[in-house]
Amino acid sequence: MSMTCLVQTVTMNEIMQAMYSELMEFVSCIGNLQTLWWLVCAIFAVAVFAAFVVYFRENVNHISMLQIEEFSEAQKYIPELYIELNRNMECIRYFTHRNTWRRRIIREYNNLFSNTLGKQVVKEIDEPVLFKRIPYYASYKKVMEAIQSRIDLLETALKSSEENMLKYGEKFYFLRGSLYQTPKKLKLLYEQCEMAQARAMVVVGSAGNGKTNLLCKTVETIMANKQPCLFINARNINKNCYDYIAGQLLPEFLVAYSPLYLRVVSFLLAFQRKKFYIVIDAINENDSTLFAESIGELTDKLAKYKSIKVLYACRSEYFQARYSRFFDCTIKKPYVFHLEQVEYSERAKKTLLMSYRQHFNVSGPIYPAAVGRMMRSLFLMRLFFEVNQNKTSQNLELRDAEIYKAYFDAVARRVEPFDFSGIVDRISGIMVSQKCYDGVEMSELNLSTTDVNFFKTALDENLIISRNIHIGKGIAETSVEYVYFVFDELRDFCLARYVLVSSLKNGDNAYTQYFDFAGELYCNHLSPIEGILKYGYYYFKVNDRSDLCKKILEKYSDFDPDEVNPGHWMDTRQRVFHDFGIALIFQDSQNILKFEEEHIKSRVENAPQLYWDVFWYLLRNERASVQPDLELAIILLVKNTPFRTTKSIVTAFFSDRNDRYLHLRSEKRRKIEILCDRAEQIEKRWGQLSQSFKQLFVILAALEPMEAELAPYEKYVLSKEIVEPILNVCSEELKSAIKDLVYRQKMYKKLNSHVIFYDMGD
Amino acid sequence: MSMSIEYHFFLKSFRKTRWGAYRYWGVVRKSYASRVVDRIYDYYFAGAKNLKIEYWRYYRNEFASYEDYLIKRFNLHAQEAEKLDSYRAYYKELTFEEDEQIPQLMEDENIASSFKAFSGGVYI
Repeated sequence: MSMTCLVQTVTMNEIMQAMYSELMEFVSCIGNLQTLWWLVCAIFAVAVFAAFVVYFRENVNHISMLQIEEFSEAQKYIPELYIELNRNMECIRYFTHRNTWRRRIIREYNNLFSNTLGKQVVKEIDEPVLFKRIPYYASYKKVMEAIQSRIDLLETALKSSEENMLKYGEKFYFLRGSLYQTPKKLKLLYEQCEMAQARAMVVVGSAGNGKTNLLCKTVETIMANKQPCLFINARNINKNCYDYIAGQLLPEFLVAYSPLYLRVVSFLLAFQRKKFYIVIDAINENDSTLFAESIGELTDKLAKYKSIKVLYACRSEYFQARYSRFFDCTIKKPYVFHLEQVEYSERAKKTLLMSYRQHFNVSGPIYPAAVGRMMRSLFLMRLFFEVNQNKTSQNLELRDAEIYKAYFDAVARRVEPFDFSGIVDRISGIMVSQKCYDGVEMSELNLSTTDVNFFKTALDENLIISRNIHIGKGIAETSVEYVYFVFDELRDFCLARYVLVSSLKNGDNAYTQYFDFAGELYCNHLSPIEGILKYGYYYFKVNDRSDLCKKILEKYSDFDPDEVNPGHWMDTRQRVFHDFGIALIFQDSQNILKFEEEHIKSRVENAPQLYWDVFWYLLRNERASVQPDLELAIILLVKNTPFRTTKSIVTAFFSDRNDRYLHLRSEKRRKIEILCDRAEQIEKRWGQLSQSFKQLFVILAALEPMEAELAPYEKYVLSKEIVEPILNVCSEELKSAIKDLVYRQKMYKKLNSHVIFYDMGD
Repeated sequence: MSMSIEYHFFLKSFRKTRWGAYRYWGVVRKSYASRVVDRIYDYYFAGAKNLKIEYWRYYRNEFASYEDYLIKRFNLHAQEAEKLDSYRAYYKELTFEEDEQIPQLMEDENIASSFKAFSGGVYI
């Protein structure tokens, strides 16, 4: 037993000695390391550097994910609401896919004249450029050269010149007719090549056009393609742009080695045939001069690396005025991509509306006119659905005044206790007193530094924005900060509210201040007049001031908004009503008052075609089953209306019967044909036509007995339920016309039964 | 504002070839009627792209599934996407098609319905 203990003690001693010697060696190593500390640091730095290279994609994609989450939380990007409405996303895909999508462009190019018509065209022009194909391995440069040569050739061939007439003879017109779309397609292919080749690209679009959504989707696409992407909000950049990006990629102590890092990353990515994308959203939202001036520098610095691409987004309102000059001075200018403003297809509109309805839980019927307006501004659509969230049963109309008020209230609640409404009123007040409606100098608002910061946070860059404007040159150069409204309509709303509230506060029951202000704007043709009248009218109507509504209608019905706002986003073609007074009345169409009906009648009496503006609007409502429907149209057409007016309205409707140029118009069919089509659709949709619709057909058939299109609907005249309400209110002449129609129908029926009998006997 | 983007989706088959179209409309090759049929075929079918190949080649990473691609990229309904879940599914973009007379021809109800029966596809 004691022997065993002895052996154990000896072993322990040996172990202790071994450990001690190891420890001593380790301590001496540390001593050596103390002298070689730089080596340790270097190895550590290299290790960190290597780690950042290895985990590069994970790091940058993580930052991008966080940025997308930030946008999602701020409701700036809602993935469910993202719908591909046009070609914008597809174009950006060319930027992100580069070489892999080149084959696509080449295929499109090679197949351009592959159909029968194309072959005929190629045969006629007989130039090798048209039938020469490009091999699929051709570089972008070659592809672009080929496309450009085809564009040049077609431009020369299609030019109206004597030379071409002699060369092609009569076939010149065939060529012009057959090659209308091809140059457009070639230009699109050329642009796609440019985008794919570009190292930097700027996406330019107007406010509320979906730039942020598009960029978020692009970033998601890049990440889904397993490529590294760094997504930055320009607002967060508080120093030189390049330094900020370097700071995002590397820890502070390695930022100095960022060129080497980017070189290594670019080299490794080139091996993997991948690119590193840097996406910077809303460069117009960063006001700092340092940032603006460093954008060009960043573009140039990153252009050195073959595997790095940069994508910027900027609001079009500021791009030309402020940011384009920073890109113009770069060595490699970025490609500027103006977001496409196409008319959305019916399917895209339907999908968009459905997704908004689902997301905001809005299931009630929406006025067709409101849908049409919203489709022109995604931002307005967003406001509309936010305001009407969780409304399931009501008929929803686009009442701008209510939408803007609700949105302002929401912003004011968000930044409480800061007096946001007060500041907006102050801006409006300064605009009114200075008679300058473009913007207000920030200094005139007399805000403390804290209030300015609060105000800027509240602005959210959507409704009101502040910008530094540089004026003067040389020693007189200075910068002034201005506050603007993004949308003119919103500015008009704020101005109208300010003037109306001022009148209320002063106990001005006749709203003299409002009418004086409107009169001044009207006389000087100033742009806020349209909105001032619109919001004022709505306010008076809601507050049962019919006298003031009448006053507006009497004074301003002849006002033409295009005179003061020629470049307005709601241009003439898109206006539903061509009479300003009628447009004012129908902004709250659910509640048409007696005096408004009278006003419409008086306007229609002078210009019968105005009736049909109202009619088509009401027909759309009838189709969507919302009020007011065609009942109002019948009232306007016959109820206590002189026969002369009714007749002229109906004559105006059928005036396209002898139109020689009908086939050249956008809608190639006659109005009566369209009306009959709509009737069929409504009957299919709701099972039957409404009484008002049948009454309308009766009136039209009575006044236009020779119209063949109306024949299937003339039978309604035999129904007492349909005819009697008209006979009770209409003019004597119309009564006799309807009675004639009844007689004719009875005769026809009698004759028809006789013919059938005769046929049977035969 | 420019025009909207239009697509025609269909399932390709032996019947939906140029010869199949001649046969379907009962026209003789190189006759006047066959030229009209040619133009209809060129407008809606010639140069169409295979949807599955497009998906696998260009979009497979971006969209979770083929159906997801059809629904999100082209705004198709789920039922339509299900119908087009085939290797025979093709689509053609009609935005830049030259022959403007073909849509005018399709305004005629009889021609439109016979074309619809021939194509059996989706037009958006």
